[in-house]
Amino acid sequence: MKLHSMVWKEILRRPGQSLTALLIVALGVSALVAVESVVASSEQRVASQMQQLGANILILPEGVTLQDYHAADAHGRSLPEEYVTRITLAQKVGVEELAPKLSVPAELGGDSIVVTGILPRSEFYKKSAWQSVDLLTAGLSENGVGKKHEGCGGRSCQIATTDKTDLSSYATTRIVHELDMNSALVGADLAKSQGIKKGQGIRILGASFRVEGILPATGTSDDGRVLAHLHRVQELADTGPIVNVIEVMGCCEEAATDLVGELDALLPDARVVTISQIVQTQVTVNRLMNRLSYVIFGILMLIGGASIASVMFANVTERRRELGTLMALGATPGMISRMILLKASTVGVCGGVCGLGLGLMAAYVAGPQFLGVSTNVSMQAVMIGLVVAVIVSLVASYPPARKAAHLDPCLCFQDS
Amino acid sequence: MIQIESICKDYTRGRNVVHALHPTSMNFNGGEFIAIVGPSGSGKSTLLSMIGGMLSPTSGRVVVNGQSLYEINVKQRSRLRNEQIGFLFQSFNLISYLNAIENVQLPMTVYGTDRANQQNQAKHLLERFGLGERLDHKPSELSAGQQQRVAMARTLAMGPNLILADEPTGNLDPESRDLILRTLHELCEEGRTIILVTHDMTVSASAHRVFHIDDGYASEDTQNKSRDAA
Ligand SMILES: Nc1ncnc2c1ncn2[C@@H]1O[C@H](COP(=O)(O)OP(=O)(O)OP(=O)(O)O)[C@@H](O)[C@H]1O
Ligand SMILES: [Mg+2]
Repeated sequence: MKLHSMVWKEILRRPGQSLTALLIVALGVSALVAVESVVASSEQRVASQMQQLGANILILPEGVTLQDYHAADAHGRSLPEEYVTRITLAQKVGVEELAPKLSVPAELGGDSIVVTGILPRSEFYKKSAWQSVDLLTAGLSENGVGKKHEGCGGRSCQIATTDKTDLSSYATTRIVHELDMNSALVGADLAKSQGIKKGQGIRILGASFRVEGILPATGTSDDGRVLAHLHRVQELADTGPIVNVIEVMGCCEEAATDLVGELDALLPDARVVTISQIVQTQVTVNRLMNRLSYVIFGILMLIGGASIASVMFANVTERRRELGTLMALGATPGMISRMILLKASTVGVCGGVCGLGLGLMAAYVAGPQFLGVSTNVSMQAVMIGLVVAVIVSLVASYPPARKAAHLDPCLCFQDS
Repeated sequence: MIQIESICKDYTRGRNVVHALHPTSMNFNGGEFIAIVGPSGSGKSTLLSMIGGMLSPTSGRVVVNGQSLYEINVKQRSRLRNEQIGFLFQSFNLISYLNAIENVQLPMTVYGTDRANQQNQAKHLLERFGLGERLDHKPSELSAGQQQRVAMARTLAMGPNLILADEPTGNLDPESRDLILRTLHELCEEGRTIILVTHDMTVSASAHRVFHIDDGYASEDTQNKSRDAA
């Protein structure tokens, strides 16, 4: 038998005794790990959004506030589609893409879905019903869209003419190059749940569409939508020429910053926000949660430490005859205090590990369920949680361990 | 060889001083069976604790096998106790959450003996005391007599040459008491020194030497000295 197995047996004799302390430590660690993991995922999402969409600007109806870029068209208010034309005609330097969107509710195979009308890029190059100017022949390259923007490393920033026909490009660039009036694109989740295949026909909003493609999964609300031509959606839903949002892709972040003011002036009735403004809310919330989780962790660790200390003091008092007997058998005071510290750190480690399990479980369940973010384990929180739990239990049990070491071995002669 | 050189013990509680033991000198040889008798509170346990290196005397020296117990440090004293001194208690002092064999292993655990040797030795000792079938029984599952036999096995685990027993038969039935006494006499014949505190006259009658303590004053009962020669 070794000393540690003796300590373990003593704990197991009455595990309930240390349970409260263990639970408090576990709660502290789990709160830290859960919140930090959720925050870490959220931060990662914000970072990737910034990287992917940092140069983007959303033009929203006045009064709309939003925290999620992917829900930019889900507010139910509208802008005139004519704004798209205004932006195009104003030929703002730094605009690389324009993407107006209109979302309407619809039914597909008995499910309620969202149909989003988008304007394929080809529309910008042809003379269409909603504009009277032929953009290609308007001599744009001379005075606006074709100009180089200094902030973008000398790149020329214009609505590109890249002739792509890959429909799945929407998933990453949010731009579709070609989409005719009777074609639709179906989000990955929706296609999967309804067994929709490319080339098949579907009926939405009372009209037939041919599925031109299934969009790759993006992990956003786009996965559950059907995309169709904006003008077809307007016609079928009888909305008139309106959109919910116009997304302006700047060719770089500096260009986007410059654009905000210009677009604001151009469209006084609309709200112009940048992606960084949208994610700013999330960043603030993250920062707050981050701090809060450390505060909660700290408080619980203090209570946990106090409870470990009190449990260990009681334990030493209750076991004084046993500890005296061990001293009579030759245990040194150091050995006695080591037993107490070992017990406390076992409680700390068990509490930490339980808390870790609880916290990860909470993060994996609560993260996606209630906060809509997938979970990445925050290794930093895991390490801090475990190390602090052990340190707190050791520090808390130092006074009782000292008391144990200074017990009078003659206690062994006392009658039980 | 145990030399006790005019040790005394005063307990101070604020202004009160209890003279638990007045200056006392004794010499014990290997193989001697010593009984210490006296009324409750007379200082028997105090004396035993000082001989066992667990209570430093207010003055005086205790020398066990050439080592002055209170002139070495705590660690060395603990080591000496572990290797050379065995204790027996009135209420056995078995560890309640350890089973019989683990209790017997305790002194070896403290010493750092490897697992296999601990188990062999503990099993061997328990078998010697007729507890071969009770190795994994907890103290609460054993009778008083069996518990004291486990405690006796534990006392012998490190093969001590000095055994200090504080009323080891106080809680036992006559049969168990006789077994413990017989064992102590056997150990004595092997050359170990036994110092036994008792109230029981029949127990002290079998000792080689008897010391009386009364109110902290110790004196040897010379009527028993004749046995010393035997
Ligand atoms: N830690 C202590 N502090 C103060 N006084 C003590 C302490 N330990 C013992 N005493 C006192 O010293 C005296 C001797 O005590 P001791 O325990 O040696 O008696 P004892 O002969 O073993 O008695 P018993 O037969 O009841 O066990 C008693 O008066 C006791 O009250
Ligand atoms: Mg006593």
